Amino acid sequence: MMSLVKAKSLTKTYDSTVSVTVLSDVNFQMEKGELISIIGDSGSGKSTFLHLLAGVDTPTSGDIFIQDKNITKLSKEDLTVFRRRNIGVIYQFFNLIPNISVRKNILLPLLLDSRREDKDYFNEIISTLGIEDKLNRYPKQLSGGEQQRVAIARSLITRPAIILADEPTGNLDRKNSEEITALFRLVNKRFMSTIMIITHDEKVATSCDKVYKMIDGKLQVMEE
Amino acid sequence: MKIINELSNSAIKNNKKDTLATRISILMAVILLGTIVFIIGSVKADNYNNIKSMIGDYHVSFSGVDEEIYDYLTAYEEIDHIEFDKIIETDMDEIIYEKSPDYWNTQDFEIVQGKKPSKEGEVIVPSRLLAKNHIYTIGSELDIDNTKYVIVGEYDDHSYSFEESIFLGYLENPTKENLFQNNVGVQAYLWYDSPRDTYTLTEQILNEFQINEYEAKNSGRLFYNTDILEYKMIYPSGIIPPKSVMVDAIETYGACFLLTILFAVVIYGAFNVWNSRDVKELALLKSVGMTEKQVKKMVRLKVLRLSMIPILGGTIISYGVANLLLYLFWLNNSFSYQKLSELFGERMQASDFHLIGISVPSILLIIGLSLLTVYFSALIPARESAKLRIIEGLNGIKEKKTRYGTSQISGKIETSLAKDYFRSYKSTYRTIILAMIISSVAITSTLVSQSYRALNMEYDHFNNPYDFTSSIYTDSELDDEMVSKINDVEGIDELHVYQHKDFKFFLEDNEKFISNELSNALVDGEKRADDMYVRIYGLSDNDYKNILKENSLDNDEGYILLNKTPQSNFIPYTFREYIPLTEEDNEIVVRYNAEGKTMNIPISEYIDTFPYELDVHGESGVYIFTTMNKLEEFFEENGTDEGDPVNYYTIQLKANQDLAKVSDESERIISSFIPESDYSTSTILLTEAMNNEQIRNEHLLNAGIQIIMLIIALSNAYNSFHGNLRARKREFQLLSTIGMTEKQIKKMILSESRFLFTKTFIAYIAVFIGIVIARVYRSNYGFGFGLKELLSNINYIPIILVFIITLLGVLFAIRSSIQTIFKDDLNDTIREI
Repeated sequence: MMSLVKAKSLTKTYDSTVSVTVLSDVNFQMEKGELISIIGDSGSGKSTFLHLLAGVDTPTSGDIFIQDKNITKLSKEDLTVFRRRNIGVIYQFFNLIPNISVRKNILLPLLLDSRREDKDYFNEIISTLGIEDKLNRYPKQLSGGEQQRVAIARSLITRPAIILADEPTGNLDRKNSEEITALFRLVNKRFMSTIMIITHDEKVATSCDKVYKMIDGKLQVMEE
Repeated sequence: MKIINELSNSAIKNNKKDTLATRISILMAVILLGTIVFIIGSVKADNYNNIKSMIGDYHVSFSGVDEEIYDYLTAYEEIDHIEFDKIIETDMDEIIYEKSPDYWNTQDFEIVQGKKPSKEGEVIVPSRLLAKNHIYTIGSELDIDNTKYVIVGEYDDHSYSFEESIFLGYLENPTKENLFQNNVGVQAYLWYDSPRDTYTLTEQILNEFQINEYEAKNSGRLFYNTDILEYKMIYPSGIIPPKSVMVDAIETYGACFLLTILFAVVIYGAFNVWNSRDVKELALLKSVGMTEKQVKKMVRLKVLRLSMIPILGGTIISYGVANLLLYLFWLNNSFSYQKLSELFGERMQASDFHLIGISVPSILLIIGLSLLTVYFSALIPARESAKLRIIEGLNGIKEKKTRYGTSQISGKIETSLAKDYFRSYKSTYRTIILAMIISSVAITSTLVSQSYRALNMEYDHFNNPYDFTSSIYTDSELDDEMVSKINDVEGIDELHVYQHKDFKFFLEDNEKFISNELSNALVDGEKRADDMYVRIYGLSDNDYKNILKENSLDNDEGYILLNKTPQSNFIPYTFREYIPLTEEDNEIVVRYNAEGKTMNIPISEYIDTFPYELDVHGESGVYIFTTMNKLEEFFEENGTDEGDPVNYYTIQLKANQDLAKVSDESERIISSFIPESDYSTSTILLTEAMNNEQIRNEHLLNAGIQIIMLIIALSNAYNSFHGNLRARKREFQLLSTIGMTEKQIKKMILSESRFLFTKTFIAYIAVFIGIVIARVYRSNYGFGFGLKELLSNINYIPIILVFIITLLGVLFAIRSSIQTIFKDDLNDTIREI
């Protein structure tokens, strides 16, 4: 089976006053429909890895293939377009554009691509995530958990190849955290989404199909 | 507290780009404000020094001082000091003014040769006396009323040739015995202990001697040194300035006030943008225990630290800019004077250029005003920072209810997002719009005033139809030979020679004379009785006969009244409607002055057209026409006006060929009969040249104002837009992570700037209409007509230029900010997230 996401010999070194290698020769691949998590200590390089996959950072060496496209070779403009069509990104904070409505936030990647939404798919997403009645609100009028649901909805709207979530429950209480984790599983099953979650939370991690651990810039499989 | 100091200091050091942008904004504003303050200060100080050097800085002067008044004044406790002039009338045609030593420190006299008197008995005499009487030279001794005087110098007195010569001498001994010796006049100059009491104390003194203040002022006996007093803000009603001073102050300081507001708006905008960006840092500081008071203090300290360098730098630079501008004006004036000298054939020279004196009050005013403006501009951001809730600052979620508009989904996404952002940043954009509007208002007011002047020139102006006009001042009659020679000049199509004399017209003398319409207009306030005067024209016999003929009148030699006056003093010249002055009462009563005797003028005929368009029809003038001979007879019967004994003659002509030649020839004839000091001429050619010179000067001044406003518009548009975009860096990068391309973000920002310009334009149109309507409303024109004419005469190019330059500033800011934002690694922002 062909890998949906493939990272080959990824290395990332920051050269400021001292040279720091954050990722060292990381090889990784992910199949369609997988739900995986990466755990690790702060500074281990897990978020850097996610940013490289999301195309918001560039590796010092190595290649990243998403649906066979080497995104490290794309121009800035092409990478942005590729990201909006193929990658959904969810952050811990600052996920939503505060001055536009929830509906517009969700539809934004499509609108930026001058595409119309598939109404049934849109309805399915919002009902799955339980935000049907929040569409005309603004982000500041939502709770943290609701905001994260909207962020997940936005990451799903373009039917991306992969959803990358960086500490999606980091800012939430236990109840909301469990709900969001359950939602990721539900989305994974219902929409066959490929999801990678970076987390500190072992409970979140173990709810995924596969768990990786990042230790000093090296990625190891923990359990399947 | 040391830590607050350190934090405010580090906020400045760690935000180099913001520091630079804000400092540039403050620097620009201070330079502009400082330039205006230095120029106004210099003009006012020059005016004060000029008056002081010309006539001295005494508070009040009055003549006709007798021994009793002398005793009273010298014993008056609240007078700081007094100086006296001893006036000696001689049997010859001369008056000697013995002046106190202080007078000789002024520049009231221009020594042509010799020296100024330095002791009793030394005098200087007018040059024209030495030219006329060759027996006198410098060093000549004169024996006047048994007192010996020596001529030590000659001065240029710019008087008419027929006026009495004034000898200026040195008064060494101002004692009562000396001053009142030989039955002479004495004039006193007073300096009070407290200049502020000038008007009240003078009134007290006058009351003591039953002297009417109004009459004394009118007759010239009493003179308040108003220029000096007004400079010290002393007015007849105490600290409340009269209307004229208020109007002058509004005109002078209006620009200063407008610039200060602009300054405040620009600085407020810069601080506000910066503070919104620092909101997270402020929340963190509050989370570790910084109190509201400390936050306020930190913000204020930051502001003061930020502004000290640009305020001091701006003050120094503005001194240079003000000097440069004044130098350019001086250079332009020199050029104008040179051109006018060529036109008039006499030497005219601009006074020497001098650097603006370093005035401590002006510097303190600039620094004080700038600090105050900066401080008040920082108050709102400081208060908002202090009130910031920690949680709101940290997670950016405001608990305060926010009003949201409709977030549209349809249409182009770049445009719809731009609308959303424009709404969210409405307070920032409002500040930018306000600054742009204020700079445009300054230039619009200038252009509207200019258009209004053009309107007045067209509709509220008498167009003299004559090509050549010469005014002659003499103590005798006009030489017939001169008139006959001018008559013979080839190329003259129409020639009029006449004399005129003005008289006082008092309503109480003429109650029977005035018509009902005039009486009603006076009651309604459409006309003012106080302003009314009578002018009698003594025409040549020919011109007079022609009037009789044209109007089918048969009185050989009498007084013909132009029986009409404008219905209202507030209607422009072209649109006036006239009412009769009298219902044909056959007598008008005039006087030379308020205290003078009444003189009856029997009106024999009435006309309703100003003959030959000889003169402007003044709104308060009553015009009577007779022959020159008859006017002379009148003077013989009633005596001449002692207050103004000059005979005023006018020669006006229209040429039907080579105007320059006709003018030259006519002037040559006049100059061969009349001394140069006793006549002045103007021709249509000179008037046109002078108008052109004035237009050139106006254009130069406008160009100066435009450049200043363009600099403000450009720097403000660039700084505020650039600051705003940089503050939104995170937002743009978040949009980028969602998949918005650089091109789309650019399009979105351009759409925002389009909204900004549309809103600015709409606001500007409203303000523009407001300014135009206010101008028309305050004018004497019909509303519709004034509006149409004013709008069609405005020079729109500078306004368009301001908008274009501002647009360029915004586009440049967008380009430069986008480059900065996207140059940074996207990951840096994500890390901040």
